[in-house]
Amino acid sequence: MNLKKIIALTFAPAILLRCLVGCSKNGDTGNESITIVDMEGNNVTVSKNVKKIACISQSATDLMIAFGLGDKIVGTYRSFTYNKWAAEIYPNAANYKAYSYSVSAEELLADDIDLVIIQDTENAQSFRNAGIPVIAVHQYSPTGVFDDEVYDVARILGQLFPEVKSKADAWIKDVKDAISDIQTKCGTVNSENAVYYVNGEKSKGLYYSDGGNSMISRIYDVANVRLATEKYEVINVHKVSDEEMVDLNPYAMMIGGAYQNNLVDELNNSPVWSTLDCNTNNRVYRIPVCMVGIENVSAETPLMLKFTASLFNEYEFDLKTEMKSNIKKYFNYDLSDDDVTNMSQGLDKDGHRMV
Amino acid sequence: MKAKRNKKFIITLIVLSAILVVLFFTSMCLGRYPVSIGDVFKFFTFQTIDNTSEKVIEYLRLPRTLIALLIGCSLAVSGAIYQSAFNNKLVSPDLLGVSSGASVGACLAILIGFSSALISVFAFIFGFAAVALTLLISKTFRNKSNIILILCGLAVGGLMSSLVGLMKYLADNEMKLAEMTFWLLGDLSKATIKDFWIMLPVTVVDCALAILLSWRLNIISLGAKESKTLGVNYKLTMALLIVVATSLTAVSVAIGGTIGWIGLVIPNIVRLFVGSNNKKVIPISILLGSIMMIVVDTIARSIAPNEIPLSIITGILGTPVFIYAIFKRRREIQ
Amino acid sequence: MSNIIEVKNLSFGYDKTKKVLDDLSISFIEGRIIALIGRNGSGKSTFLDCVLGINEYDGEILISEQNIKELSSKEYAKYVSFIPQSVQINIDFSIRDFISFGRNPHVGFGLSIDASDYQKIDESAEKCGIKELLDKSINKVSGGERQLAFIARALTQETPIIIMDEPTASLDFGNQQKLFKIMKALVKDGKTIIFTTHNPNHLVNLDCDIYAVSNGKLKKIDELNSETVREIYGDEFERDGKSFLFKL
Repeated sequence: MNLKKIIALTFAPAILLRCLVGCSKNGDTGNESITIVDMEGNNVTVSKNVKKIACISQSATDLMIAFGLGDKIVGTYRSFTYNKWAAEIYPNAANYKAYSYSVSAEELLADDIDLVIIQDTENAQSFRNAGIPVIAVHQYSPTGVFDDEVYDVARILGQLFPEVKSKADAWIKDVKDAISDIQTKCGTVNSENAVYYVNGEKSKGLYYSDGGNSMISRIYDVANVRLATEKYEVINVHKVSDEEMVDLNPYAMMIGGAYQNNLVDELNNSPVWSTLDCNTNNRVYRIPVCMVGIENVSAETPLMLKFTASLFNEYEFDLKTEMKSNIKKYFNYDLSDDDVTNMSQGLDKDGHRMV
Repeated sequence: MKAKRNKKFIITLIVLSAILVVLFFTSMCLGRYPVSIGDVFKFFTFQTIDNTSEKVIEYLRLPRTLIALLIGCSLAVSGAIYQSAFNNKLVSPDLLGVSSGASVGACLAILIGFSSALISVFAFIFGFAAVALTLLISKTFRNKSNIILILCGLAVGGLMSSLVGLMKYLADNEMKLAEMTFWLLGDLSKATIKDFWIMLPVTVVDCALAILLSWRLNIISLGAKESKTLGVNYKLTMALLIVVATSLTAVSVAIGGTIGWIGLVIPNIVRLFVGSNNKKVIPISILLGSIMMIVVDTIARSIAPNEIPLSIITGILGTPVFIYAIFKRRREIQ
Repeated sequence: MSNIIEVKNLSFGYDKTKKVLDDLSISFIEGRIIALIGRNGSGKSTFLDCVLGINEYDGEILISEQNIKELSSKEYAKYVSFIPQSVQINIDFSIRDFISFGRNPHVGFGLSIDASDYQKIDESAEKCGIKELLDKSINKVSGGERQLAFIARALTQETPIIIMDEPTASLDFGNQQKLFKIMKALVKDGKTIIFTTHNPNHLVNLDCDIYAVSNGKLKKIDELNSETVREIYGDEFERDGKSFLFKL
């Protein structure tokens, strides 16, 4: 009895009343706003003069910088900040805060964030609760095949910031040109050659790959090979067992991400993996890493498409010159020959492993 | 002499209530975004404060703190009931499989890709279903011993844990896996005031029932035979107590995920200081559980830029508090 | 004096093939101490569990002419109080709280006990000589004191019948005598006490009705002597039990 009285008398009425009143009220973003559709199909209303963005996606961060929106970014996904190439190519990136997908809404409010662009939406609801709009972007299609979704981030950025629409469109054209160039020169072949992809962005071992609805599968499609793990339809993360790997016995293997050198060691030390045909036939390739691994949707996507096509087709492509011109074009940075070598080996500017 | 004993109990209640109130308002100030005590005061007296501070209090801190309070008292009361009813201080609210069942429901809903509201509904239903399964299995053995019931609870809990493992294995992308992991360790970051309004009636009704039944709970703890001869309808009362305790845990798990330790530790700490009489244990558990969870939630959202799962904090905080309580009372324990 | 308990055609078995109690009929007179003796497994406790309404038996058991199957738990608890055999409690109620549970049949749902109830608790504790232990925890007193707390609880329950299962089992000689003294005093107050025991020696000096349980039946023993005891306990008594039966 006493207990109830005490609570009731002291603070229950104030709080309950406050809650009730609070519910009816709703914060609005002002009249200058725009509604866009994000990659999960959500309608997101965003103020037109967004100034502070938490861009918790490496891929979108790369594109934003490429389009000249780098100064609007307050923080990015933490892996991006570990990659020394980012600050080298775009010095302002050194000031970016490192966020994780589970960053708290209060932290974002404390940083005065007015838009979140995020790849992993597990915590998105709490940002929305805090009144921060959330745009979901992905490296795979939540609903089906990853096709025109390649252009989604550029499309969204173009809508949000009309001033960079021409740059975004130019990038889209670059990607489309690259695809049509490959298709004219190499045709579209229904290849039986399966290429296994190792996602080395996180230290999750050789088993960590992507599924049939992902960006990498789209890239392989263009390059006339098929993703060894494509049958795992909606699967983004898959643990391939050693036995299954022997059964898959891929034609080639591509290892990407900041951990690629560690993964190559792992490959050579594993009695099962090292004796796979692709390794004994020298068909294990590294994927270059610039600001992000180039297999991500990024400014380097045209490069990645051509690079992959050249590995598996009669397709002429000089990685060195194309890489230099691509980085110059999008980031106005001059790469030296050593830089290009390091990037294509998954190393940092000094030739050290990234992690 | 009786008056003196009651006075001590009432003073304890008043002191704990005061601590709860102070903590509640203090926690409104604490977090990654700085909010002054003055702003908090203004907020609750309907004065205008700056927009962001208002957002932080209204949409982030107030809902989750209120829910933390409800979850704290729900789990503590649920634990106190289970421990007393089964005469075993070492059981947690998960005794009959409620939280592991709720976990299965929630993970299934996450796997299918349901909204957070449906995840809660699934968690609640599966929590109850797991307990029902436990009771059903134990019924088939035709043995009235509580040990049979506890063993069946263990079996069902084990099965449910495996199913959770299966769901995690089947999780087809990292996001779902991360969501499940966060959920399985307790998380209030997505809580809204709506969740509070859903939880409030269940918790209030159940806690009121627990207080009303606390006297009978004492007698139930002596076993079926003595309960019967002391005039308590054992089967009916036990059933009612199980429903109360189960719904308290199920609703907590449905809203905040599985949060360990509170249900096990709080009633034990309370018992170390006021004895086993549930007329005292239940009300004090309500207050202490709420206090503990508010502290836990405030830490979870304050110390790091990322949300820290609640069970991590309850474990880290609960262990020393529990050991301290045992240490203080080491001579009285036998 | 009237029959306080009447048992008619009571049958009970834990499984279908073997009956522990078989068509048993008996009646007990009010205001007496009733002692049940018999071998291990003869059915003493089973019989008590039937009277306590815990076993699902065939037949009828009447208490003060009321069929116990028709009484609610609460009504039943106004007639019969019970002191179990092995008194182990691992929850530390204070003795006062513990005794207060005896008031349960007399208070309403969710209501607490009031001053008059506490008065009765104090009186019962006084009667059993444990008044100074009231604030102690029940699992921090000796076995004998705990037994007395149980009796005090039964007294606060204010029932005409008190059933005790092996009350002497965990008591030393002195406490056993104390127990019998209290039992005699209670009977003098008009209560009926039913208890089981393994030691016929206890009954020699006690003014009580003795019943032997064997072969599913209850048989009144009019006089306790070598003959009757041998009949109950058989050869074991023959060999070395003779000398144990003595009069104090």
